[in-house]
Amino acid sequence: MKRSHVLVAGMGGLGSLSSFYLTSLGIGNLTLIDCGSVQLSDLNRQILYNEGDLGLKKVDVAYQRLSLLNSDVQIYSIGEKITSENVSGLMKEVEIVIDGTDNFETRLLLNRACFEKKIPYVYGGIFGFRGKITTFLPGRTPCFECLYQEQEETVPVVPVVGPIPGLIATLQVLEVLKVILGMGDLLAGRLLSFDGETMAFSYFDIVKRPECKICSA
Amino acid sequence: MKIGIVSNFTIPGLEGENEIYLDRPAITLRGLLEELSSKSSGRVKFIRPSTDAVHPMDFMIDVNGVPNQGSREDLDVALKEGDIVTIKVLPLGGG
Repeated sequence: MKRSHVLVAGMGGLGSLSSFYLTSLGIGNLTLIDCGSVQLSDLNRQILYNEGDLGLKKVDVAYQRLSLLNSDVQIYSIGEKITSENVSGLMKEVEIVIDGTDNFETRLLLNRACFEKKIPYVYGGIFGFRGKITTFLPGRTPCFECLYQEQEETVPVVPVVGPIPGLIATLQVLEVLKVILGMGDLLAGRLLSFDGETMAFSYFDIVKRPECKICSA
Repeated sequence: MKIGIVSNFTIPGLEGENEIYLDRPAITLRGLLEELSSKSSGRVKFIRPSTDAVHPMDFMIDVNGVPNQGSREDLDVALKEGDIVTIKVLPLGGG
């Protein structure tokens, strides 16, 4: 684990929790990337931050808090937006990407870069009482673009119930841990969906899209 | 009657198939989804009992390329021989 390098893309509800667990687990190298600052509306779910952090850059606060949690972890914080120009460079020496982004456009960028560099990509997404997670393994499973191709959000504001990112981020970290340790059954090719209104977990065996320009090209 | 099924996931009970044969002369979208749920032995529940509708964050459905919102009224649309129903499970955008 000390030799591993995980990129946490987005330090919101998912990323703030997954980075916390990854740090406590003793992941050797952790890169955090987010261009945002802490807002009051973030505090229902983004557990790394508090009222005293309002207006501060998330990656700066996260770096400080996580360094105090485990000083053995080498943390790299990048306060940039993920773009088509920088996404490939961000993956340098990274072994796994864990998704904490809040939009499809960035996920499509991450998906392409992970596929090109053969890096596992642990997707997580949330909406209201719902959360979904799967692990994309380049060359072995369908990719994110097999599931979804649109860049635009279908809703302008995504409501989130605080515990949902907690649950999904925790499951994402389990996936990362299993990838690193080479053990267990991954959610490879399986989308796990959780509905907090009914407390139901569902699995879907997702299929490759034959015309996918990323993984079927 | 025969209805074409397009999906981005494997519907249990319909593995390797892209159409379903129904032993009845007519069916609504609701009836089809209930039939698919039944074939999956309940593993996939398309219609939520509490709302009698499909939640848009669970599935995206269209009939012959025309989006269907999956509301109680929308599910009553009648299907005909050869119609193609697309059912996709969607990722969620929030993080």
